[in-house]
Amino acid sequence: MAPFLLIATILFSLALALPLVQMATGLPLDAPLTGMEAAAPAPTWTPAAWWSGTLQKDFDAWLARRIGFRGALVRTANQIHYGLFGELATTGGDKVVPGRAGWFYEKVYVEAFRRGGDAADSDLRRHSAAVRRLQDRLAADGIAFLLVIAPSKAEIYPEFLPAAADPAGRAQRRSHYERMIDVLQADGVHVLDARRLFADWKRAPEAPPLFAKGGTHWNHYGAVRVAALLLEKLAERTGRDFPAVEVVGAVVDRAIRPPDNDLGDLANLWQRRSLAGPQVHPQVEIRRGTSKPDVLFIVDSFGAQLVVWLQQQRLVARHDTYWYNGRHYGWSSRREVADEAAPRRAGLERLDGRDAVVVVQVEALLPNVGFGFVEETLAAYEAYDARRTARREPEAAP
Amino acid sequence: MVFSSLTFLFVFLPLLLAAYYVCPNRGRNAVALAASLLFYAWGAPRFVLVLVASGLVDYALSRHLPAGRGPDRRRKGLLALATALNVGLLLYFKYANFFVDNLNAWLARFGAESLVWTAVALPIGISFFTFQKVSYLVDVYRGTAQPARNAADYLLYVALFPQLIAGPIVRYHDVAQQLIAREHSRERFFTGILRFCQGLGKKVLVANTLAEVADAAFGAAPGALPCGWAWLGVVAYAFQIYFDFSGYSDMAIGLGRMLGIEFLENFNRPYVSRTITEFWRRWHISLSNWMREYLYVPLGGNRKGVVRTYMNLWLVFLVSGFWHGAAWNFVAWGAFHGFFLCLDKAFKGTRIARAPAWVGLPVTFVLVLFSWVLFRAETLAHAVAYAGRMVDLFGAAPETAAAIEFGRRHAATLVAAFALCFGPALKPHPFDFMRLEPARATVGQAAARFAVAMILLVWSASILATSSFNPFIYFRF
Repeated sequence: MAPFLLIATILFSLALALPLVQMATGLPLDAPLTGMEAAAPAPTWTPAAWWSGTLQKDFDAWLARRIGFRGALVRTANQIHYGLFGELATTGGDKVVPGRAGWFYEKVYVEAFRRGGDAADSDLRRHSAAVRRLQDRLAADGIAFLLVIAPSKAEIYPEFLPAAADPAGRAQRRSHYERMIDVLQADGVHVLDARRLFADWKRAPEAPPLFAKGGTHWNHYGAVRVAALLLEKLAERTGRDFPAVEVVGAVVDRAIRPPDNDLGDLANLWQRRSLAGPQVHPQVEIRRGTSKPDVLFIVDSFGAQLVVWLQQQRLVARHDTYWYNGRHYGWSSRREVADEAAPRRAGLERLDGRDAVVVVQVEALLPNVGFGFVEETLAAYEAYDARRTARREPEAAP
Repeated sequence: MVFSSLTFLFVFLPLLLAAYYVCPNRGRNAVALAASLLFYAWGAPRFVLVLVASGLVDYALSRHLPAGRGPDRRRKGLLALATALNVGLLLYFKYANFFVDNLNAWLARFGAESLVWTAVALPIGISFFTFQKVSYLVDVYRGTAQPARNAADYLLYVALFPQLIAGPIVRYHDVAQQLIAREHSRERFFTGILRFCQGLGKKVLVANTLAEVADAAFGAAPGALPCGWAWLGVVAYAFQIYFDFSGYSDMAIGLGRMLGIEFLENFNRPYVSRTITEFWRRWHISLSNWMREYLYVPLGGNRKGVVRTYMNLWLVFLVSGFWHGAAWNFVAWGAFHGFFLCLDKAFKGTRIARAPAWVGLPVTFVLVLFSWVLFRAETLAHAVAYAGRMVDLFGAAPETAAAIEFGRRHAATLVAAFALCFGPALKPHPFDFMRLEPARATVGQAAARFAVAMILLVWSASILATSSFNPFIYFRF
């Protein structure tokens, strides 16, 4: 018994000491975690910090982020919880909600699905009217406007939601999309309603999946079908011969295109890729056309897939992109930079010479449209128009 | 610092064990004391001064307490002074806010101006270490223990980190000899590992999970709580508090063994009790022992007639309730238990007292559940409203019911907790499984238990690690 007790004591001591050793030396290698975190500040080692207790709190928080084998520990906890209870141990942030049959959803969309749309009718009308005013003002400068409403995975595939999301009660709730689409159409706003299209496409016989099991956005196949329609709409609105894309089929394989397993990666399980499921890619035929559209994009992460694909296929000319999360891709600089004011103050100078402005946003973000871009651009136009009128008035006065 | 934290598990504990066992025997008390003061100061840096200063005063006064060190009246006076100092500190730090709040409420009722008062912060663990200090003073006065050899030994008794924050309440005479000389053996260390990991698992895997349900139920407005949810909430809380508190005691006992010190057991499957009296023999045993030895018996116990016996019994539980928390619901909780203890005593030997287990056990458990409502509720009014929802068995469901998340993890944990608490008939009982005497065990038996302990350690640590991981898919500004 004595040798065993010694071995057990050594093993226990190693289990306690190894995380600190790994933290100090980086060895043995840990399993990295997926996801973005704000950095934890290092503790300040001063007597004042000690006596006030901030040193201790900061140290605890700092250690929790740095402790050795953190990646392995988090993946272990998630794997145990996922295997035993169908949920993840990680909480907070953009929490991943495991659904049925290996599907994952993003919590924010599940919450929107469960809650329904509770904004006042007057809010819906106000937002819609603002979009229509901007559309008209842009048209006066010869710029087309298009609003692309992207579908939420929870709305298109509610059959894989967990019971806690109350899919059975969905029929009794009306989402903001369901309430607002009629208002937008009545106001004459140019909408590419991908939400409705996805519901139709899904119902088609032999329809390939439009979302990946492990992704929060439309999959590669779904995104390209929307991109094809986007180009078609832009050509229709401007009367120009832009490139045309036809999706002629789909290929199903296991090759994951980066955003198509973002939730699967964020779940931080050991069985990461085996859960990703089949990946659907489009087969396309492209007709180049005589010109390419010059577009200002205002987009969320759904729009990102469209923009990246259009850029990769060289189907757009100059295209600045303002992201919902305060970043700006500049066509002239060909790089993306942090821009806290984006996309609220894209600026009228960015509109010069454009063929179109395209706003892409997921239905769950309605009734707001354009992440502040609509209101700010309208205000900028009003100021600009007022200045122009003021300059003309003295001439007319005599 | 708490045991169920990454800082304790992976920094404090390995460094302490390394320093403790590298140090020769005569220096180990110093290592343990330094570590204990650091452990306490980590959570309450200023209050460590209160702990040390009051400890030094105790030690100085205790030198004059043993019989033969002066006239009895002087010794008694010194004991009263030392006890009053400690109880005074407890009253000030723990109850001053409560007294002032209640006084202000009365003053407001009569239209008088409120007292201006800056709220006093509560030194963590003061209820526990005050009782330990009183135990030392009384033991030395009574002659059941000699005064500590030196101030460091006494401070180590008071501040020893395994039991400092939440007990068990160690009576001085139970550990006095171990502070001077104790055995460090592989067997003791090994059983300490098993016990510590068992406690960690109870706390992190069971108590913390059930706390989510209990917190949601007690956080909801009672009017929005359907009857079933109210019961579920209090059952979840009953298991939460048991697994939390007994888990902490397990960890304390385990850590004590790693340092060569044996603490007495603090829990013994309390929910299988058939009476409230039995419940208190099984629940927080060290508090019951302390109350009996240092309060009930000095009050006269059962030696001064029937009425005084009942009075003493009830008074002890009233004090016990107030000791648990400075609020009226804790006083009511103590009074509730005291009342049923008196009833037990009154019916002792009758047919009611001899009721079979299948009657006594559920009745006692339901009574305990109602007492937990008093304990967990924010206020007495909240407790009454919550208990009202529990007894409203045939009432209409609330129009807008509170949303309480109760998933497969909660259900599985609740079932496991139920089985662990009410499965004493199982042989071997899961808790007994982890209580191994290596001298009588085979290597296979010890290895199986060690494997379970390591699984509990890794699983618990992994859960603790996730608490700091709240990632976003993409960075948002």
